[in-house]
Amino acid sequence: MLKQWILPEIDPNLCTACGQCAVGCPENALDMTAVGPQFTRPQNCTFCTQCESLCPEGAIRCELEIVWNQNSR
Amino acid sequence: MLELRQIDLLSGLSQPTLSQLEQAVILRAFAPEEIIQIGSDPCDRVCFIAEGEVGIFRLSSDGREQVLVRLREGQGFNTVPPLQPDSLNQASARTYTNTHLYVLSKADYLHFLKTFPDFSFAILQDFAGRLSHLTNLVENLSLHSVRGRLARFLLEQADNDQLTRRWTQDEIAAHLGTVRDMVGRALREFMDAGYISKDRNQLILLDREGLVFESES
Repeated sequence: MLKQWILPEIDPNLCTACGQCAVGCPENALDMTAVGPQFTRPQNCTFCTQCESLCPEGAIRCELEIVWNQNSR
Repeated sequence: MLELRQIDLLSGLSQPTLSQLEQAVILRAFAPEEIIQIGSDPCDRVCFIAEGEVGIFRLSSDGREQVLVRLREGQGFNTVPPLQPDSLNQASARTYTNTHLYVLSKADYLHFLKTFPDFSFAILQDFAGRLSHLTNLVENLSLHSVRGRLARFLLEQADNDQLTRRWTQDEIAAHLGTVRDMVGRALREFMDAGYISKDRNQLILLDREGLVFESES
């Protein structure tokens, strides 16, 4: 279950609250709030990394883990 | 955090040499994403990673970052520049995480090389490893396409339990000497071909034969 809730990390020190991530999120998982972008609908996030590519400040990190499928290794 | 004797390069040193070295080094702390050094600046120290991760990189004229190597605790850097006539940093270095470094001044490094044969031999062994790594990097960049380099990178990461497994697409691009869009496109092509799949934050390798075939392109 825990894996379902892994979300992109937002660095509040780099974020300028421009809102591009919230506008550009194809799943509408992010909203702009008084404290900046927040994953208000985390269950919508598919980890597509669009927010990371849109962020002009490099404040969003979508870290990918590279693993073998258990049956393919 | 590793003790000095646990640093890969120094683990084979005799006790007298290690004792002298422990007195010579200074432990320094760095925050995540902190620049440790800039390429082409004068090199005045050798560093060994007690804790954390460090990226060694160069910038192209258009600002693109080429990550030469990503170092983890137990590894070191700047062992080469102090021996060169101009003594300039060959690359820039930046932390990825909270990092502690054992720092040895250039003057002390040269003194240890001249005075302690076991230290000199350990440094020579390290040079041999670096030469091999750079030879592979040159081959990778000059002979293989982005798809080939990406396939090789994915296999390398998934096969080696010692390597850091979490990368952003920008970091992968920098490591492969390309840009994020190219990495994203190649990943999608690999998914379409059934070589890999994506499950949220996991890139799952499915087809070794297919990826090995791609790695030769």
